[in-house]
Amino acid sequence: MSELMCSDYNFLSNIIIQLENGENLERAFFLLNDIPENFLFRLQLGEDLIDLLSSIEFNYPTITNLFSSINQSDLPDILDRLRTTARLIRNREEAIHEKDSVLKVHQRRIKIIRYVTLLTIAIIGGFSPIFSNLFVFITTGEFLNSASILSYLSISFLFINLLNNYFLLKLSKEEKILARLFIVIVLHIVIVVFIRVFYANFFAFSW
Amino acid sequence: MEFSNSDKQRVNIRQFSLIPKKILYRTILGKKVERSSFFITDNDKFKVRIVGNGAILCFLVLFFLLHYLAGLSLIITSIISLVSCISFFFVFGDTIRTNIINRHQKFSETAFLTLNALSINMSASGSFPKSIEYLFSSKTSDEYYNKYLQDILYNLNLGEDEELIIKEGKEIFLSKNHQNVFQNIRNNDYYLESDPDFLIRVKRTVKAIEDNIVIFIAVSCLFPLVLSLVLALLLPPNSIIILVFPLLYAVFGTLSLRFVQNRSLGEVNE
Repeated sequence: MSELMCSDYNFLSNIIIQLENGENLERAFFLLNDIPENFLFRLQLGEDLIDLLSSIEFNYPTITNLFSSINQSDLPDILDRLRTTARLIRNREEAIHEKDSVLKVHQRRIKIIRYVTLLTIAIIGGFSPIFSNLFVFITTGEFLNSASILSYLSISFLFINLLNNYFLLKLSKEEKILARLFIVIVLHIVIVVFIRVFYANFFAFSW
Repeated sequence: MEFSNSDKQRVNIRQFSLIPKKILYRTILGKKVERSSFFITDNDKFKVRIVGNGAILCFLVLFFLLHYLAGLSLIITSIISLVSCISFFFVFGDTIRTNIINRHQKFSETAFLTLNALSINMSASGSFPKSIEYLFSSKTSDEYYNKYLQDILYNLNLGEDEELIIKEGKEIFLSKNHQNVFQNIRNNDYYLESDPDFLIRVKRTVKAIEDNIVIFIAVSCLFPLVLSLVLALLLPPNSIIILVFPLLYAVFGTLSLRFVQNRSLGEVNE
Protein backbone atom coordinates (compact mmCIF):
# COMPACT_ATOMS: atom_id res chain seq x y z
CA MET A 1 0.00 0.00 0.00
CA SER A 2 1.44 3.39 -0.91
CA GLU A 3 0.32 6.60 0.66
CA LEU A 4 -1.07 9.68 -0.97
CA MET A 5 0.85 12.89 -0.30
CA CYS A 6 -2.20 15.12 0.11
CA SER A 7 -5.65 14.97 1.65
CA ASP A 8 -8.45 13.14 -0.11
CA TYR A 9 -10.21 16.41 -0.80
CA ASN A 10 -7.19 17.92 -2.56
CA PHE A 11 -6.65 14.79 -4.56
CA LEU A 12 -10.23 14.71 -5.75
CA SER A 13 -10.44 18.42 -6.56
CA ASN A 14 -7.15 18.34 -8.48
CA ILE A 15 -8.44 15.50 -10.59
CA ILE A 16 -11.65 17.41 -11.22
CA ILE A 17 -9.64 20.40 -12.46
CA GLN A 18 -7.66 18.20 -14.84
CA LEU A 19 -10.84 16.57 -16.12
CA GLU A 20 -12.39 19.97 -16.64
CA ASN A 21 -9.37 20.95 -18.73
CA GLY A 22 -10.23 18.12 -21.06
CA GLU A 23 -7.73 15.51 -19.97
CA ASN A 24 -8.79 11.92 -19.59
CA LEU A 25 -8.54 10.12 -16.27
CA GLU A 26 -5.19 8.42 -16.89
CA ARG A 27 -3.51 11.60 -18.04
CA ALA A 28 -4.99 13.48 -15.10
CA PHE A 29 -3.08 11.15 -12.80
CA PHE A 30 0.19 11.85 -14.57
CA LEU A 31 -0.33 15.57 -14.22
CA LEU A 32 -0.85 15.42 -10.45
CA ASN A 33 2.16 15.95 -8.24
CA ASP A 34 0.97 14.06 -5.20
CA ILE A 35 0.82 10.59 -6.66
CA PRO A 36 3.47 8.09 -5.51
CA GLU A 37 5.98 7.36 -8.27
CA ASN A 38 5.69 3.62 -8.32
CA PHE A 39 1.97 4.07 -8.96
CA LEU A 40 2.67 6.12 -12.09
CA PHE A 41 5.29 3.63 -13.16
CA ARG A 42 2.84 0.77 -12.94
CA LEU A 43 0.25 2.83 -14.79
CA GLN A 44 2.78 3.40 -17.56
CA LEU A 45 3.35 -0.31 -17.81
CA GLY A 46 -0.31 -0.63 -18.66
CA GLU A 47 -1.96 -1.92 -15.49
CA ASP A 48 -5.64 -1.22 -15.05
CA LEU A 49 -6.24 2.13 -13.37
CA ILE A 50 -9.12 1.01 -11.16
CA ASP A 51 -7.11 -2.01 -9.97
CA LEU A 52 -4.16 0.24 -9.20
CA LEU A 53 -6.23 2.73 -7.26
CA SER A 54 -7.06 0.13 -4.64
CA SER A 55 -3.34 -0.05 -3.83
CA ILE A 56 -3.31 3.58 -2.62
CA GLU A 57 -4.16 4.24 0.98
CA PHE A 58 -7.01 6.75 1.15
CA ASN A 59 -8.67 8.20 4.20
CA TYR A 60 -11.96 7.18 2.60
CA PRO A 61 -11.17 3.94 0.77
CA THR A 62 -14.52 3.97 -1.04
CA ILE A 63 -13.37 7.08 -2.92
CA THR A 64 -12.15 4.81 -5.71
CA ASN A 65 -15.74 3.79 -6.35
CA LEU A 66 -16.26 7.24 -7.82
CA PHE A 67 -13.94 6.43 -10.72
CA SER A 68 -15.35 3.02 -11.53
CA SER A 69 -17.40 4.17 -14.51
CA ILE A 70 -15.85 7.50 -15.37
CA ASN A 71 -14.46 6.36 -18.71
CA GLN A 72 -17.88 5.20 -19.86
CA SER A 73 -19.77 8.36 -19.10
CA ASP A 74 -20.44 11.88 -20.29
CA LEU A 75 -18.07 14.17 -18.41
CA PRO A 76 -20.17 17.32 -17.89
CA ASP A 77 -22.86 15.27 -16.14
CA ILE A 78 -20.39 13.82 -13.74
CA LEU A 79 -18.19 16.79 -12.91
CA ASP A 80 -20.91 18.33 -10.79
CA ARG A 81 -21.32 15.18 -8.76
CA LEU A 82 -17.60 14.82 -8.29
CA ARG A 83 -17.31 18.40 -7.18
CA THR A 84 -20.15 18.02 -4.68
CA THR A 85 -18.60 14.86 -3.32
CA ALA A 86 -15.28 16.62 -2.90
CA ARG A 87 -17.03 19.38 -1.00
CA LEU A 88 -18.79 16.86 1.21
CA ILE A 89 -15.44 15.28 2.03
CA ARG A 90 -13.99 18.65 2.95
CA ASN A 91 -16.96 19.50 5.18
CA ARG A 92 -16.61 16.17 6.88
CA GLU A 93 -12.90 16.61 7.47
CA GLU A 94 -13.51 20.03 8.94
CA ALA A 95 -16.25 18.75 11.22
CA ILE A 96 -14.14 15.84 12.40
CA HIS A 97 -11.21 18.15 13.02
CA GLU A 98 -13.38 20.47 15.08
CA LYS A 99 -14.85 17.55 17.00
CA ASP A 100 -11.38 16.23 17.77
CA SER A 101 -10.22 19.52 19.19
CA VAL A 102 -13.34 19.89 21.37
CA LEU A 103 -13.07 16.27 22.41
CA LYS A 104 -9.48 16.83 23.44
CA VAL A 105 -10.55 19.59 25.83
CA HIS A 106 -13.15 17.27 27.32
CA GLN A 107 -10.71 14.44 27.51
CA ARG A 108 -8.36 16.62 29.50
CA ARG A 109 -11.21 17.62 31.79
CA ILE A 110 -12.33 14.04 32.28
CA LYS A 111 -8.72 13.02 32.85
CA ILE A 112 -8.49 15.45 35.77
CA ILE A 113 -11.79 14.19 37.18
CA ARG A 114 -10.56 10.65 36.71
CA TYR A 115 -7.34 11.18 38.62
CA VAL A 116 -9.01 13.14 41.42
CA THR A 117 -11.66 10.47 41.93
CA LEU A 118 -9.00 7.78 41.67
CA LEU A 119 -7.02 9.40 44.45
CA THR A 120 -10.09 9.98 46.62
CA ILE A 121 -11.37 6.44 46.28
CA ALA A 122 -7.91 4.99 46.87
CA ILE A 123 -7.40 7.10 49.98
CA ILE A 124 -10.80 6.15 51.38
CA GLY A 125 -9.96 2.56 50.46
CA GLY A 126 -6.72 2.94 52.39
CA PHE A 127 -8.55 4.15 55.47
CA SER A 128 -11.25 1.49 55.20
CA PRO A 129 -10.08 -0.46 58.31
CA ILE A 130 -11.34 2.51 60.34
CA PHE A 131 -14.88 1.77 59.19
CA SER A 132 -14.58 -1.89 60.05
CA ASN A 133 -13.12 -0.97 63.43
CA LEU A 134 -15.94 1.50 64.00
CA PHE A 135 -18.45 -1.27 63.37
CA VAL A 136 -16.73 -3.44 65.94
CA PHE A 137 -16.65 -0.47 68.29
CA ILE A 138 -20.41 0.12 67.89
CA THR A 139 -21.30 -3.54 68.47
CA THR A 140 -18.83 -4.47 71.22
CA GLY A 141 -17.84 -1.12 72.70
CA GLU A 142 -14.18 -1.93 72.20
CA PHE A 143 -11.98 -0.02 69.71
CA LEU A 144 -9.41 -2.11 67.87
CA ASN A 145 -6.58 -0.90 65.71
CA SER A 146 -6.27 -3.73 63.25
CA ALA A 147 -4.99 -2.54 59.89
CA SER A 148 -5.38 -5.56 57.68
CA ILE A 149 -4.47 -5.01 54.05
CA LEU A 150 -6.94 -7.49 52.63
CA SER A 151 -10.59 -7.19 53.51
CA TYR A 152 -13.85 -7.30 51.60
CA LEU A 153 -14.12 -3.56 51.91
CA SER A 154 -10.75 -2.87 50.30
CA ILE A 155 -11.49 -5.31 47.45
CA SER A 156 -14.79 -3.55 46.92
CA PHE A 157 -13.04 -0.18 46.76
CA LEU A 158 -10.59 -1.50 44.20
CA PHE A 159 -13.50 -2.67 42.06
CA ILE A 160 -15.27 0.66 42.40
CA ASN A 161 -12.13 2.51 41.39
CA LEU A 162 -11.62 0.29 38.35
CA LEU A 163 -15.23 0.62 37.22
CA ASN A 164 -15.24 4.36 37.76
CA ASN A 165 -12.15 4.73 35.58
CA TYR A 166 -13.54 2.37 32.98
CA PHE A 167 -16.77 4.34 32.61
CA LEU A 168 -14.99 7.67 32.45
CA LEU A 169 -12.57 6.31 29.82
CA LYS A 170 -15.48 4.95 27.82
CA LEU A 171 -17.30 8.26 28.07
CA SER A 172 -14.34 10.25 26.77
CA LYS A 173 -13.83 7.68 23.98
CA GLU A 174 -10.20 7.00 24.83
CA GLU A 175 -8.09 4.23 23.37
CA LYS A 176 -5.95 1.62 25.09
CA ILE A 177 -8.45 1.26 27.92
CA LEU A 178 -6.89 -1.93 29.29
CA ALA A 179 -3.42 -0.41 29.64
CA ARG A 180 -4.84 2.59 31.45
CA LEU A 181 -6.83 0.36 33.77
CA PHE A 182 -3.64 -1.50 34.62
CA ILE A 183 -2.06 1.80 35.66
CA VAL A 184 -5.12 2.45 37.83
CA ILE A 185 -4.69 -0.89 39.61
CA VAL A 186 -1.02 -0.21 40.30
CA LEU A 187 -1.67 3.34 41.54
CA HIS A 188 -4.54 2.20 43.73
CA ILE A 189 -2.52 -0.55 45.37
CA VAL A 190 0.48 1.74 45.93
CA ILE A 191 -1.68 4.40 47.56
CA VAL A 192 -3.54 1.87 49.72
CA VAL A 193 -0.34 0.25 50.97
CA PHE A 194 1.22 3.64 51.63
CA ILE A 195 -1.78 4.77 53.68
CA ARG A 196 -2.00 1.50 55.59
CA VAL A 197 1.64 1.83 56.59
CA PHE A 198 1.08 5.42 57.63
CA TYR A 199 -2.10 4.48 59.51
CA ALA A 200 -0.51 1.59 61.40
CA ASN A 201 2.47 3.71 62.44
CA PHE A 202 0.28 6.69 63.30
CA PHE A 203 -1.46 4.74 66.04
CA ALA A 204 1.81 3.20 67.19
CA PHE A 205 3.27 6.69 67.67
CA SER A 206 0.31 8.33 69.35
CA TRP A 207 -0.31 5.60 71.91
CA MET B 1 -24.81 -30.00 1.67
CA GLU B 2 -24.68 -32.76 4.25
CA PHE B 3 -23.47 -32.31 7.78
CA SER B 4 -21.62 -35.12 9.46
CA ASN B 5 -22.85 -36.19 12.89
CA SER B 6 -20.16 -34.37 14.88
CA ASP B 7 -20.78 -31.19 12.86
CA LYS B 8 -24.46 -31.37 13.72
CA GLN B 9 -23.64 -31.80 17.36
CA ARG B 10 -21.32 -28.83 17.30
CA VAL B 11 -24.00 -26.67 15.66
CA ASN B 12 -26.51 -27.78 18.30
CA ILE B 13 -24.12 -26.90 21.10
CA ARG B 14 -23.48 -23.49 19.60
CA GLN B 15 -27.22 -22.90 19.34
CA PHE B 16 -27.94 -23.97 22.90
CA SER B 17 -29.45 -21.31 25.13
CA LEU B 18 -30.97 -21.60 28.58
CA ILE B 19 -32.99 -18.39 28.24
CA PRO B 20 -35.52 -18.32 25.36
CA LYS B 21 -33.64 -16.80 22.45
CA LYS B 22 -36.28 -14.23 21.57
CA ILE B 23 -36.27 -12.72 25.06
CA LEU B 24 -32.48 -12.92 25.24
CA TYR B 25 -31.85 -11.03 22.00
CA ARG B 26 -34.55 -8.52 22.87
CA THR B 27 -33.08 -7.64 26.28
CA ILE B 28 -29.41 -7.56 25.32
CA LEU B 29 -29.65 -6.00 21.89
CA GLY B 30 -32.55 -3.71 22.70
CA LYS B 31 -34.97 -1.88 20.49
CA LYS B 32 -32.51 0.30 18.63
CA VAL B 33 -30.71 -2.68 17.17
CA GLU B 34 -33.76 -3.82 15.21
CA ARG B 35 -32.72 -1.42 12.48
CA SER B 36 -29.18 -2.74 12.55
CA SER B 37 -30.20 -6.39 12.19
CA PHE B 38 -28.17 -6.58 8.97
CA PHE B 39 -24.99 -6.06 11.00
CA ILE B 40 -25.61 -8.83 13.53
CA THR B 41 -23.39 -11.74 12.56
CA ASP B 42 -23.82 -15.33 13.71
CA ASN B 43 -20.80 -14.82 15.89
CA ASP B 44 -22.54 -11.96 17.71
CA LYS B 45 -25.58 -14.13 18.35
CA PHE B 46 -23.29 -16.86 19.64
CA LYS B 47 -21.67 -14.39 22.03
CA VAL B 48 -25.08 -13.21 23.20
CA ARG B 49 -26.06 -16.80 23.95
CA ILE B 50 -22.79 -17.29 25.85
CA VAL B 51 -23.55 -14.22 27.94
CA GLY B 52 -27.10 -15.47 28.63
CA ASN B 53 -25.96 -18.96 29.60
CA GLY B 54 -22.99 -17.54 31.51
CA ALA B 55 -25.26 -15.30 33.58
CA ILE B 56 -27.38 -18.26 34.67
CA LEU B 57 -24.28 -20.35 35.32
CA CYS B 58 -22.83 -17.50 37.38
CA PHE B 59 -26.05 -17.38 39.43
CA LEU B 60 -26.00 -21.11 40.09
CA VAL B 61 -22.30 -21.29 40.96
CA LEU B 62 -22.49 -18.33 43.32
CA PHE B 63 -25.64 -19.71 44.91
CA PHE B 64 -23.98 -23.05 45.48
CA LEU B 65 -20.76 -21.52 46.79
CA LEU B 66 -22.39 -19.06 49.16
CA HIS B 67 -25.29 -21.14 50.42
CA TYR B 68 -23.77 -24.59 50.74
CA LEU B 69 -20.08 -23.87 51.20
CA ALA B 70 -20.05 -20.50 52.99
CA GLY B 71 -23.32 -21.24 54.78
CA LEU B 72 -25.02 -17.91 54.26
CA SER B 73 -28.77 -17.55 54.68
CA LEU B 74 -31.07 -18.10 51.71
CA ILE B 75 -32.13 -14.45 51.30
CA ILE B 76 -28.63 -13.01 51.35
CA THR B 77 -27.36 -15.68 48.98
CA SER B 78 -30.10 -15.04 46.48
CA ILE B 79 -29.62 -11.27 46.64
CA ILE B 80 -25.89 -11.53 46.04
CA SER B 81 -26.10 -14.06 43.26
CA LEU B 82 -28.97 -12.24 41.57
CA VAL B 83 -27.12 -8.93 41.57
CA SER B 84 -23.92 -10.45 40.23
CA CYS B 85 -25.83 -12.41 37.60
CA ILE B 86 -27.64 -9.28 36.41
CA SER B 87 -24.46 -7.19 36.34
CA PHE B 88 -22.65 -9.90 34.38
CA PHE B 89 -25.54 -10.02 31.92
CA PHE B 90 -25.74 -6.28 31.40
CA VAL B 91 -22.09 -5.38 31.30
CA PHE B 92 -21.01 -8.05 28.82
CA GLY B 93 -24.22 -7.79 26.82
CA ASP B 94 -23.67 -4.11 26.40
CA THR B 95 -20.22 -4.50 24.83
CA ILE B 96 -21.72 -6.74 22.12
CA ARG B 97 -24.48 -4.23 21.52
CA THR B 98 -22.03 -1.34 21.24
CA ASN B 99 -19.99 -3.26 18.67
CA ILE B 100 -23.03 -3.79 16.47
CA ILE B 101 -24.12 -0.17 16.68
CA ASN B 102 -20.61 1.03 15.86
CA ARG B 103 -20.54 -1.18 12.79
CA HIS B 104 -23.78 0.35 11.54
CA GLN B 105 -22.52 3.87 12.21
CA LYS B 106 -19.36 3.22 10.28
CA PHE B 107 -21.39 1.90 7.39
CA SER B 108 -23.59 4.94 7.42
CA GLU B 109 -20.63 7.30 7.59
CA THR B 110 -19.24 6.27 4.23
CA ALA B 111 -22.68 6.05 2.63
CA PHE B 112 -22.32 9.41 0.94
CA LEU B 113 -19.40 8.24 -1.20
CA THR B 114 -21.10 5.03 -2.23
CA LEU B 115 -24.36 6.80 -3.02
CA ASN B 116 -22.66 9.39 -5.19
CA ALA B 117 -20.57 6.73 -6.90
CA LEU B 118 -23.79 4.82 -7.59
CA SER B 119 -25.35 7.95 -9.01
CA ILE B 120 -22.33 8.54 -11.29
CA ASN B 121 -22.51 4.94 -12.44
CA MET B 122 -26.24 5.35 -13.04
CA SER B 123 -25.68 8.27 -15.33
CA ALA B 124 -22.95 6.34 -17.14
CA SER B 125 -24.83 3.11 -17.62
CA GLY B 126 -28.50 3.97 -17.16
CA SER B 127 -29.31 0.71 -15.44
CA PHE B 128 -29.37 -0.02 -11.74
CA PRO B 129 -27.85 -3.54 -11.79
CA LYS B 130 -25.09 -2.39 -14.12
CA SER B 131 -24.17 0.50 -11.86
CA ILE B 132 -23.84 -1.86 -8.89
CA GLU B 133 -21.58 -4.08 -10.97
CA TYR B 134 -19.40 -1.08 -11.66
CA LEU B 135 -19.04 -0.57 -7.93
CA PHE B 136 -17.80 -4.13 -7.57
CA SER B 137 -15.20 -3.54 -10.25
CA SER B 138 -13.34 -1.11 -7.98
CA LYS B 139 -12.95 -3.77 -5.26
CA THR B 140 -12.50 -1.44 -2.33
CA SER B 141 -15.88 -1.43 -0.63
CA ASP B 142 -15.78 -2.89 2.87
CA GLU B 143 -17.26 -6.26 3.72
CA TYR B 144 -20.67 -4.97 4.79
CA TYR B 145 -21.10 -2.90 1.63
CA ASN B 146 -20.03 -5.91 -0.38
CA LYS B 147 -22.59 -8.11 1.33
CA TYR B 148 -25.31 -5.50 1.08
CA LEU B 149 -24.76 -4.81 -2.62
CA GLN B 150 -24.38 -8.49 -3.40
CA ASP B 151 -27.72 -9.18 -1.74
CA ILE B 152 -29.35 -6.51 -3.88
CA LEU B 153 -27.71 -7.80 -7.04
CA TYR B 154 -28.73 -11.35 -6.20
CA ASN B 155 -32.36 -10.33 -5.73
CA LEU B 156 -32.28 -8.35 -8.98
CA ASN B 157 -30.95 -11.37 -10.84
CA LEU B 158 -33.73 -13.48 -9.38
CA GLY B 159 -36.10 -11.14 -11.17
CA GLU B 160 -37.66 -9.36 -8.23
CA ASP B 161 -39.21 -5.96 -8.68
CA GLU B 162 -36.54 -3.24 -8.81
CA GLU B 163 -38.83 -0.70 -7.15
CA LEU B 164 -39.46 -3.04 -4.22
CA ILE B 165 -35.78 -3.85 -3.76
CA ILE B 166 -34.84 -0.20 -3.65
CA LYS B 167 -37.64 0.52 -1.21
CA GLU B 168 -36.48 -2.21 1.14
CA GLY B 169 -32.80 -1.52 0.57
CA LYS B 170 -32.99 2.09 1.64
CA GLU B 171 -33.97 1.13 5.19
CA ILE B 172 -30.36 0.36 6.01
CA PHE B 173 -29.28 4.00 5.85
CA LEU B 174 -29.57 5.82 9.14
CA SER B 175 -30.08 9.27 7.72
CA LYS B 176 -33.33 10.33 6.00
CA ASN B 177 -31.27 12.22 3.47
CA HIS B 178 -29.39 9.09 2.38
CA GLN B 179 -32.63 7.12 2.22
CA ASN B 180 -34.13 9.74 -0.02
CA VAL B 181 -31.21 9.70 -2.43
CA PHE B 182 -31.19 5.93 -2.58
CA GLN B 183 -34.90 5.82 -3.31
CA ASN B 184 -34.47 8.20 -6.23
CA ILE B 185 -31.20 6.72 -7.46
CA ARG B 186 -32.69 5.71 -10.80
CA ASN B 187 -33.62 9.27 -11.46
CA ASN B 188 -30.60 10.68 -13.29
CA ASP B 189 -30.52 14.08 -11.62
CA TYR B 190 -30.42 12.75 -8.10
CA TYR B 191 -27.29 12.66 -5.96
CA LEU B 192 -26.25 13.64 -2.46
CA GLU B 193 -25.65 17.37 -2.44
CA SER B 194 -25.37 18.03 1.26
CA ASP B 195 -25.03 15.89 4.35
CA PRO B 196 -26.20 17.91 7.34
CA ASP B 197 -26.99 14.83 9.44
CA PHE B 198 -23.34 13.96 9.78
CA LEU B 199 -22.43 17.41 11.04
CA ILE B 200 -25.36 17.37 13.46
CA ARG B 201 -24.36 13.98 14.77
CA VAL B 202 -20.77 15.04 15.32
CA LYS B 203 -21.98 18.02 17.33
CA ARG B 204 -24.39 15.81 19.29
CA THR B 205 -21.69 13.39 20.41
CA VAL B 206 -19.65 16.26 21.81
CA LYS B 207 -22.75 17.74 23.42
CA ALA B 208 -23.69 14.39 24.93
CA ILE B 209 -20.32 14.21 26.67
CA GLU B 210 -20.66 17.79 27.91
CA ASP B 211 -24.13 17.15 29.33
CA ASN B 212 -23.32 13.88 30.93
CA ILE B 213 -20.11 14.68 32.74
CA VAL B 214 -22.15 15.89 35.71
CA ILE B 215 -24.41 12.84 35.76
CA PHE B 216 -21.37 10.65 35.59
CA ILE B 217 -19.56 12.27 38.45
CA ALA B 218 -22.66 11.86 40.59
CA VAL B 219 -23.24 8.26 39.57
CA SER B 220 -19.63 7.30 39.32
CA CYS B 221 -18.09 8.71 42.43
CA LEU B 222 -20.54 9.80 45.06
CA PHE B 223 -23.09 7.02 44.82
CA PRO B 224 -20.78 4.02 45.33
CA LEU B 225 -18.61 5.80 47.86
CA VAL B 226 -21.46 6.84 50.13
CA LEU B 227 -23.10 3.45 49.84
CA SER B 228 -19.95 1.56 50.75
CA LEU B 229 -19.14 3.90 53.63
CA VAL B 230 -22.59 3.69 55.17
CA LEU B 231 -22.78 -0.03 54.67
CA ALA B 232 -19.35 -0.58 56.13
CA LEU B 233 -20.73 0.93 59.33
CA LEU B 234 -23.91 -1.15 59.22
CA LEU B 235 -22.48 -4.50 58.16
CA PRO B 236 -19.79 -6.55 59.83
CA PRO B 237 -16.45 -6.26 57.98
CA ASN B 238 -16.44 -9.93 57.10
CA SER B 239 -19.89 -9.79 55.49
CA ILE B 240 -19.74 -10.69 51.83
CA ILE B 241 -22.65 -8.35 51.00
CA ILE B 242 -20.13 -5.51 50.81
CA LEU B 243 -18.91 -7.00 47.53
CA VAL B 244 -22.36 -6.56 45.99
CA PHE B 245 -22.04 -2.79 45.77
CA PRO B 246 -19.36 -2.60 43.10
CA LEU B 247 -21.58 -4.93 41.08
CA LEU B 248 -24.59 -2.68 41.55
CA TYR B 249 -22.39 0.17 40.49
CA ALA B 250 -21.40 -1.72 37.33
CA VAL B 251 -25.07 -2.06 36.40
CA PHE B 252 -25.78 1.61 37.04
CA GLY B 253 -22.75 2.77 35.10
CA THR B 254 -23.50 0.56 32.11
CA LEU B 255 -27.12 1.66 32.08
CA SER B 256 -26.17 5.32 32.11
CA LEU B 257 -23.60 4.81 29.31
CA ARG B 258 -26.33 3.04 27.34
CA PHE B 259 -28.67 5.93 28.00
CA VAL B 260 -26.11 8.40 26.69
CA GLN B 261 -25.56 6.30 23.59
CA ASN B 262 -29.28 5.91 22.93
CA ARG B 263 -29.78 9.61 23.19
CA SER B 264 -27.08 10.57 20.73
CA LEU B 265 -28.36 7.86 18.34
CA GLY B 266 -32.05 8.50 18.77
CA GLU B 267 -32.12 12.14 17.88
CA VAL B 268 -30.60 11.54 14.48
CA ASN B 269 -32.95 8.70 13.65
CA GLU B 270 -36.13 10.52 14.43
